[in-house]
Amino acid sequence: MTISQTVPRDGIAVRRHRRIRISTVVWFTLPAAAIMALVLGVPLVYSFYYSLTGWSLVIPGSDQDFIGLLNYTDILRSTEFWASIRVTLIYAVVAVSLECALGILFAVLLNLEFFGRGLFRSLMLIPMVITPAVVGIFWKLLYEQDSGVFNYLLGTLGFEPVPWLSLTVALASVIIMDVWQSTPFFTLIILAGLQSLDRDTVSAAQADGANALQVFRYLTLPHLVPYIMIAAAFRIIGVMADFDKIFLLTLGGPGNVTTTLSVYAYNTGFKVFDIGRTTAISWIYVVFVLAISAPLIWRLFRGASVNRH
Amino acid sequence: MATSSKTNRTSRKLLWTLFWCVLAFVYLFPYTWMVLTGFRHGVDTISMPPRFIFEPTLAGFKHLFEVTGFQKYIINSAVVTIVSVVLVIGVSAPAAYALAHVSRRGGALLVAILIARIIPAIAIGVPVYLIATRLHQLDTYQALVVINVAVNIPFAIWLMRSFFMEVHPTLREAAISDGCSEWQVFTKIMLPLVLGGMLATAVFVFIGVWNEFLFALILTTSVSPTAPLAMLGFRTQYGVQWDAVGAAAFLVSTPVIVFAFIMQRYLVQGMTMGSVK
Amino acid sequence: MKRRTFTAGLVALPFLGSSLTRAFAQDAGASLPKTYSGQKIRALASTGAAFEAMATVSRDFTEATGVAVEYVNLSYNEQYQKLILDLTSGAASFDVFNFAYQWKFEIEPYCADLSNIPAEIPGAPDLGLEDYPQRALEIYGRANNKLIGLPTLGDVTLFVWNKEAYKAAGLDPEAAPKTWDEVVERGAKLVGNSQFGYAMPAGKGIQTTVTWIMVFKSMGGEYFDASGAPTFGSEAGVNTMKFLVEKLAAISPPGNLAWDFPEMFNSLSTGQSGQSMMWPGAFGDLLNPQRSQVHDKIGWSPMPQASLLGGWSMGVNDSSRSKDAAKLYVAWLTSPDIVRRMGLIGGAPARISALKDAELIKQAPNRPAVLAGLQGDVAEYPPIKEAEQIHIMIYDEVNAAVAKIKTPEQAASDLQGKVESFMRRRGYLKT
Repeated sequence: MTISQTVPRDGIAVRRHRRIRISTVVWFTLPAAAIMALVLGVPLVYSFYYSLTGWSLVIPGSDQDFIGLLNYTDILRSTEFWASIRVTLIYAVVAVSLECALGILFAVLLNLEFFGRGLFRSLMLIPMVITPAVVGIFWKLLYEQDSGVFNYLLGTLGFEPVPWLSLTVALASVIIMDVWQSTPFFTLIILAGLQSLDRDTVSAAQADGANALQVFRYLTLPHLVPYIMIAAAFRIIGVMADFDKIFLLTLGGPGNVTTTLSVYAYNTGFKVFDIGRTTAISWIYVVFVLAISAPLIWRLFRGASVNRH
Repeated sequence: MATSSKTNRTSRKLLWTLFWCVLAFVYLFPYTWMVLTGFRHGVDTISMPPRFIFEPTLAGFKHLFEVTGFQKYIINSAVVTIVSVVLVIGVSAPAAYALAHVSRRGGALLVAILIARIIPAIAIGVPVYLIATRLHQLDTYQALVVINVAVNIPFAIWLMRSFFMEVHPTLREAAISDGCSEWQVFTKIMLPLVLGGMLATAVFVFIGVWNEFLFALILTTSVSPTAPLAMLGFRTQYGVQWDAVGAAAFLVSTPVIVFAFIMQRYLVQGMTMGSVK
Repeated sequence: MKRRTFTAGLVALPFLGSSLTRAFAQDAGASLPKTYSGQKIRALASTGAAFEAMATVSRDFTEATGVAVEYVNLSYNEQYQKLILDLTSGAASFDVFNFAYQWKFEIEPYCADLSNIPAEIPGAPDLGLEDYPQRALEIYGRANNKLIGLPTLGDVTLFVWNKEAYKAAGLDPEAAPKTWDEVVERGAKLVGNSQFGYAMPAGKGIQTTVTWIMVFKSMGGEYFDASGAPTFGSEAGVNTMKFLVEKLAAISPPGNLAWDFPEMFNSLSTGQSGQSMMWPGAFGDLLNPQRSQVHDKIGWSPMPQASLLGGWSMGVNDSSRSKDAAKLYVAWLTSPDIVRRMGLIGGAPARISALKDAELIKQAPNRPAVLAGLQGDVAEYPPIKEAEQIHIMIYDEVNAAVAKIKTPEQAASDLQGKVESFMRRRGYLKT
């Protein structure tokens, strides 16, 4: 089967085949949609129902205790909830921005020509691969104020030890840990995006006299935008869900400075088996995350499909 | 002239290589520290001041296999992850391709898919547990695979969609005019073109399933527990078994790194086949 | 030929007989019934040497009865969640399980009563309940007048100190402090040269609660008054907060706002802190040169003034499909010989006979201190259902106070308020 030249042979015929048929879309998406609907949909409905009850696993019979929106109002009125929203926002915005910037930088640098490029590309992905809980456990050791390796190294370089897990610095420390672990996520996606950039266009631009910076700014970056958007959208979603590594690093403290929404949900819900509350928080969480990532999604949508070519 | 520009190029390559050696070393220092932990005694890991010279030991690995029976966990993780990745890609690629051709009308579906991704595991953890119990699927491989597949489809669809969108529509139009069915266009033309992107997606899904914790805790007992459960178990109530954690982390991250290494070569190959103009 | 073999056999018989008798005496397994052969028991336990020891000795049970025993080990929080999920859903994924006694009121409805095992299960070893410190047995195993657990891990807080640090500060390395004030006094002398006086955990974790409880009890505090109302904000409560913030935290390393047990242990075992509370379960590591820098410098004694009881028991799932086999197993696992054997490979026995055993003491010299602690007037975690919620409140408030987010007085009164509203909401408050 050869791919013929894309010169329209027959104007009418091309127009007939131009748009993909709805039935094709349906068949192609059916398996995925079916799995999600069945496996996620049913528990979702249950979970919404539970959020309207006062169900606690350790109080037998409480799943019949229908309390309507009481869970929701309780949570929305709690100062700790709003504090956790604030912490989550700061965490998400700062961490994702840093990861994005660093990710692009690393991807571009990994796209240059040098020896062992393949090796370095996979090496730089390593942090992303480690189980987050383990990252939390180890960075706890590294961050130890008096005896941790980070402060030791800082000391040998002549700096003062940093109180990493103290009231003021703990959130920054969590962010640093996350940036370390999740920058490779951006790096990989951007790298894939860079690979799909047409070499000919770049050579043509360079032949026209564009320097590296101009090529980057006017060619590469715009091309990368959809990839950055996808990576950012999903990383924001991921950051919201981050739990293990934060919890194991700081237990949510000191005070509430590192209690993100997921830590809050765990501490006030799942940990004490209050299922009604856990599910209510989760639904508020879904709304919240949607609200945060909506602008990104909208941008992804506008005119974005294969037909934009 | 030609020779000097070639030497220039080589020396530039060398310079960048050196740069990357330093950057990678600094960036990966926490990882190196973690791996070291698996090869030395607990006292060396926590000692103050930190010890960079120590007596290596395989006690951590011994503990891993003789006491914890880690091989069972790794095998379970491998089975669940590989099957899940294959299923996710297999089911998401056609969907991603189809959805690459819609923007407004299919938009609702795309948003629904996104919402599915946002749902936190603890929201559906208990309902899933109860359903699995009723269906007698607790502590099975299939239960874990099914839930992991469902949870990872959204991201796979969204990511692969962006790769499919790179391909110029005329390719498809021409193939259709040549008499191909949609499925043939998809399998014979599109898939090879986005192979790199597919593999990148596979890596992400692999990592996601490999490190998944909550459902592994909820749904497994003794037959199908996965590696993350064992790893968290090394943080006992009486202290962390550092040599075991380090050894486990090393063992658990290495296959994924190898997978990523193999994958990233295809990343180059697949993507530079590029869009045909 | 045959006759000579026969005579040789006859001659050998007495020797054979005596060795068999010895084997019978040592190995209770010889008399275990094979009634349940072919069944399987799944056991839930935490991680660590003591629980690994259970899995190891259980092989003998399998050999003697034909019942397979499969262990599932999970870390503390995860084990608790898994246990509650399993028990409350009736899924019966586990037939026997280890539980921390502070969970006993939540799980009691789902546990089988163990008091009549010798009568119910022919061939089961006697429970030997008098061989446990009686108050500890009550706390570990009895909930709502039902015996739901037999003690498997005896834990009581011990006070430890670094003898070398004591000597360097001019303190008698063999003398234990008698009061918390003395602890602080000595601690103040130990501070200096990147060394600190006490490894105080102030993170939002259970060890912070443990510390609060020990100080609270030593100040004469009670959880509830005669009518069952909480008194966490009483004068003792306020003094506890003040003591923790102003005195104890002052001699502790900075950066302890995220500390839980591993960090406490690290601080003591690297010599960073000269004094600490320590659970006996961690002594194995503490005295091990491969895990600790202070393995040869440790002194220990019961906690000054008030010790807190920790520890685990084993219970049987009332919905278990192999309930009888499970009951047999639990009786066997907690029988004196097996307990002793587990003690030798890392277990922490709660039985008096085991804690007095010479070999066990040689293997872990802190056993007499543990026994003294268990037999003394130990404090327990708040004996109320969903006590975990209260533990969370305690460590939240201590953490906030130590982080100077609020004053100690405010923290004590907030704690009182939280406990009250919790108890009221749940209906645990009578008034």
